[in-house]
Amino acid sequence: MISINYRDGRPIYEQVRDGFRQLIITGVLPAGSRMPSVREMASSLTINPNTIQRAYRELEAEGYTVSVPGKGSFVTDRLDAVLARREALLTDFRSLVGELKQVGAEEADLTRVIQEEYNT
Amino acid sequence: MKFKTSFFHKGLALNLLRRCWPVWLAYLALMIFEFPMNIYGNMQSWRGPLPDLADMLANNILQSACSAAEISFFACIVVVMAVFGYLYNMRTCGMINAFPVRRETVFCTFALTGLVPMLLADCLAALLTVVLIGNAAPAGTVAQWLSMAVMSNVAFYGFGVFCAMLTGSLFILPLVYLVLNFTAVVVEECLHALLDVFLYGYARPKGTISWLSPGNAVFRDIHVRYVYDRARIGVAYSIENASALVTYCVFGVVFLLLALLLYRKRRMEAAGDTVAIPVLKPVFKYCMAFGTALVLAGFVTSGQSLHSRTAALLACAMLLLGAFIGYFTAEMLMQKTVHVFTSRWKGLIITWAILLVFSAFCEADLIGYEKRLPSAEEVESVTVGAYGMSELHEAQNIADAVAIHGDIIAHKDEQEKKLDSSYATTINYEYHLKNGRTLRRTYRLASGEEERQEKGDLWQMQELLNRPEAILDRVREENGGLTPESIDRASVYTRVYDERTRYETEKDLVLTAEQARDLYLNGILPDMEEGRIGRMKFFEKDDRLSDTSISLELSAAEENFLGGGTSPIPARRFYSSYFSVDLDSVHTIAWLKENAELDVMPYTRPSYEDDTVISAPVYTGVG
Amino acid sequence: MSDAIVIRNLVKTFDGFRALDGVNLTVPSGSVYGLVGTNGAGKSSCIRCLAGIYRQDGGDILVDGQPVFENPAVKARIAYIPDDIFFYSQAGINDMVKVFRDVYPSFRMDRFTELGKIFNLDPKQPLRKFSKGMQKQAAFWLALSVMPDVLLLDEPMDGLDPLMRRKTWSVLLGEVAERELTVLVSSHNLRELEDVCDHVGILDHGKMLLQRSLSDLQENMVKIQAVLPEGTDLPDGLHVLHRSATGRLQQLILRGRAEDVERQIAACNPVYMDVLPLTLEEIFIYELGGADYEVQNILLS
Repeated sequence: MISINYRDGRPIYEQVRDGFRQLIITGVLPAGSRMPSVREMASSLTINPNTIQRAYRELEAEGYTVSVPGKGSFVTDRLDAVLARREALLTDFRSLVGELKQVGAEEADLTRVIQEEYNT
Repeated sequence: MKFKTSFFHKGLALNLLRRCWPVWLAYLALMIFEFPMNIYGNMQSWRGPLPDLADMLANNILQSACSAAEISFFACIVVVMAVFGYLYNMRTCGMINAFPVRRETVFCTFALTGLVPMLLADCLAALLTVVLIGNAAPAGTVAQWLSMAVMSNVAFYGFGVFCAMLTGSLFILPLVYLVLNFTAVVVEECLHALLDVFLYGYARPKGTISWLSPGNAVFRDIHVRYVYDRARIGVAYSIENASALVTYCVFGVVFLLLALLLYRKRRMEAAGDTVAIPVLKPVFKYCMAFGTALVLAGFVTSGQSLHSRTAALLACAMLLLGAFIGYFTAEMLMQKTVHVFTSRWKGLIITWAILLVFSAFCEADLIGYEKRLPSAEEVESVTVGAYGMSELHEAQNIADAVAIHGDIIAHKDEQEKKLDSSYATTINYEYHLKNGRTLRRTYRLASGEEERQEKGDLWQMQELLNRPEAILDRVREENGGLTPESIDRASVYTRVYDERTRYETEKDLVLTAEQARDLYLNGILPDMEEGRIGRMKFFEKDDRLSDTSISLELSAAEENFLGGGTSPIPARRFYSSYFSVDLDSVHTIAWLKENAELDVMPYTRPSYEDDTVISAPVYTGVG
Repeated sequence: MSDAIVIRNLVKTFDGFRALDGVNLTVPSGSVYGLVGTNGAGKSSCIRCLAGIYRQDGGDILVDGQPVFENPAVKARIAYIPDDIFFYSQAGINDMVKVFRDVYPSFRMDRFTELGKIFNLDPKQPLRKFSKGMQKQAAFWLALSVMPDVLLLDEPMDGLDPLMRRKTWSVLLGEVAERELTVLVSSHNLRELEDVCDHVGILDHGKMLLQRSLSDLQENMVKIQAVLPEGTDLPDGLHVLHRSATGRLQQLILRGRAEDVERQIAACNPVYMDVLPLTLEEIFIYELGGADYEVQNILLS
């Protein structure tokens, strides 16, 4: 389900993390479903389990997954909450952009900021 | 499977058996073929009288026991190679040593698993024999077979395992085993041969270290001896030197223990190396150098008939050459390349120096071996002679023996030169000194016609040996103490030369016991006491030779502990005493004329230049 | 998490030659440690000392805190696959199983059977008849059935085709994840090690040149391609390990975290900036002091 692109400049754990995030958001991994075990992922991707662990930790930190002691990691069933938050933030963004325009910020400046953020 | 200290690991043992079972099976087959099948076959095909069957079987069984020991020599090293071969290859070695098993356990497991099946095979062969032949053989012979088979297996196996610890190469192992099994005896022989070249008059010491070579003992010393008696009293067989096997067996166990100690310390990275123990590398190199030098020099000198300086030079050259070969062969084996000649000459130079010093030292006789001559006062008695020896106690005889010895020493150069062109007789001296010590020398003295006419050293010796004291001692010594009672009968031979057929034959007159005893008492003995018969004859030509000779058949009682019994069996030993009648053996000639109507004539020898003459061999001396 | 393997000042001499000259090595439990170095650097000797085959001339070798040499209790938990595998002639995998079962108390037949589905080799065939790659697979099969705590691999993937490599690593990594198997693998193939290892060590001439966790190495170096505006140079405070240019395009290797370095360079408004992937090989080269011939030699073999 995840594939690693070795030419990609991003570290592998990032690719794993982003890959899963995509699957969760698009609903391929439904809310409340169990995440594949670290073991399975390490095995199937033939990469070090620590790398997988790290990706999972970050997903959890971002709120996409929840780990239940003794049972494993699960996709948050509060995804809607996450998506709702995203919507809310986008709305805030829109109004912020409007305000910046008001105070004379150039479009190019805004685009640059967006670009910078997306490139880290 | 716990890790308590156990010395046997069943799994490893089973694995070894599964891998190498053909080896033990072959051994079992060999043992069964050699013993029960062989003996049973002989028993079935026996066509002789039944009472003799037991003797025949006893003989066969004991012969088989000796063969079993010889087979053991080879079988054991094969088993050792199979069992411990893993040490010689880094891959197998790594695998076994990565296992969670202690080294002691590995060693004990493999060592026992190698040996025990062989011993079981021996027992099985013995059992089968007992089943097949039942009571037919004397009691204890099969037990003796089994004990010899078992002891030789333990001895050679233990030694083989020890050898296995010394090396890291599967090819070197059997060579080491073979060499070490015969080293003592080979070194001894070569050393004697060498010293004989360098030292004029060198006599081999009586002792020997050949017992340090188990291979030699098994193949040469241990054999079946039998004593038989025409009257069939006390026929028995026994094995000579069988007790040596007990010693070797004990040493076998000792070697196994030593091998265990070596195994514990073994550096596994030695797999593939010629010498596994670093400390032994120089030992190997120098043993090869000196050993090869000795062997080459020994072989070459004993195979040729050069004398004196020439021989010494040749021996020295062979020593140096042998050292060179041995040294660089060792280097090649250890470094595993042939390009060893550019370095490490220092060791060889040292070896050469030592060999040169040794040769010079001996040839120059710096310890005075050649010149040592006791004074007549020092001597209690001297045993002197050639193939027949006489012990002389009379002062005059001793003095003359010493004088002749002195001459022999003084004539060293001439004697050695003569040996190039004439036959020689070996003369031995053994002085028993008053201080309890013994001095022994051996000389080869020229025995040509020139020597006889000049009345040289050998001729002087011959005259000394033909004095009454010498004759009497010699004859008695060779005949178990010749007494009239021991004489059973006699034969008188007269040589006859037929001109027509050009054959020389013998006419034969047989005397009864009574007659023979009379001849001895009234003819031969008086002549011996006057030095007129029973002479040593060193030269081809002898003016005193007649056409007549006498053979006395004697027997003497002997006690023998044979067949493993604890009480002696009366037995008899048989002798044949030969006298050639000389033209001045007056008493004998008179007796023959009077009692046998026989005229003793001078011997007319046909000319040997004419090769159409065929004759019986010419006897010289007492038989 | 304790250290599965600790080696302190390991010295091993062969015939006067110091093959291992004071090696220090630490492998945490449950990690995959890659041991890198040229032929003759001492990797195999080091591993053989770890397996308890060689006795060291100096230093300590501890697995789970216990010395290894002549210690069956510890060796029972170590499985070793050498680069030159040996099997007795006529021995099939089943025969080897009998040995392993007797020798290793933790050998599990059920695991063996399970793994058989993956390794797919005929257990009755004499191993001599298998190709070298298949023999290695057999070795893995047996070693993993022992359920070891520590697995020592000397050039393990030599001779295995890419599919088999994947399969084998797959199984290994599964065990690492599931039961904290510790793996020490020596290899030339940095590409492979990059994915599977979380720690690496470089051995050269019997000494450990560098030993770090992979994430440590990867997170502290950045490779950036950038075109700077005319007349400007890089801001101060940047730790540049290597710099080259083709025309106006600069290639930079810098020490530091990617985000920090990016931000710093972004501050001088580059016309173009891109973060490029750094291979393990490059990381090593620059960690060890640049594109030195000797260093290159170690890593490019």
